[in-house]
Amino acid sequence: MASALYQGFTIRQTWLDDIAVSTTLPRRPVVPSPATRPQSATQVLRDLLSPEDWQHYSTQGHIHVQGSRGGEYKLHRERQGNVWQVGNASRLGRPLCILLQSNTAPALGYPIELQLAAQVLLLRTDEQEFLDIALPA
Amino acid sequence: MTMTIAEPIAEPDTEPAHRLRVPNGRECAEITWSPDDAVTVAEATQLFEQGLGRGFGAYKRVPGQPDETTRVFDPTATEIIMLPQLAGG
Repeated sequence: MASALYQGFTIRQTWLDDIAVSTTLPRRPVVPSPATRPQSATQVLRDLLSPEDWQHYSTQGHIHVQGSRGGEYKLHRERQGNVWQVGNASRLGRPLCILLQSNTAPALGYPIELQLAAQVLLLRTDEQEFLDIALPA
Repeated sequence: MTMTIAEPIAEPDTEPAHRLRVPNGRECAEITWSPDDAVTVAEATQLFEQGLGRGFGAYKRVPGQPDETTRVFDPTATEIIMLPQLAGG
């Protein structure tokens, strides 16, 4: 929709009421929000993975991730207790639970692909932080 | 007959847009900027800082480099993704 492309620079999302950008800056085309794309969380996750990893996730339902400190993890497409450390005998058989939070509390309402995307990014960027946050399931 | 050698056609600016995405699954705020355009950088910076204020984490992505967490808007980043923080559940 052309009108959607050239809205005055105002972004207001119902889910993020206070992330609104209202400015007197000159009007310019705004990238159409994927609000019209229902699978935006899926697309974010897909963009984080290689085509091979995405294919594996699509068919097998899990993702292999290497942490920033070299640890290997298997993330299952499950809401809770979905993170398994690979090759760590002391933690084997004891999945980790780490969820997106809303208002400082763990939340279950987010799309699972968004949770997986956040897990992938935190493991890749700060594996120790991930382990500090995660709780044994 | 006069022959004219055409001027070479200038290559279009093919630099990909720099993108900030703030998805939550149902919807996704998305904005692009050009590092050379102060207006678009200011717009993206504003959205970035509002995301931080909301408590979101920010991840900077540059092709060929490891992803990084960041607390400062970097106009040179190819992409920044902001997501709700994780908590032990």
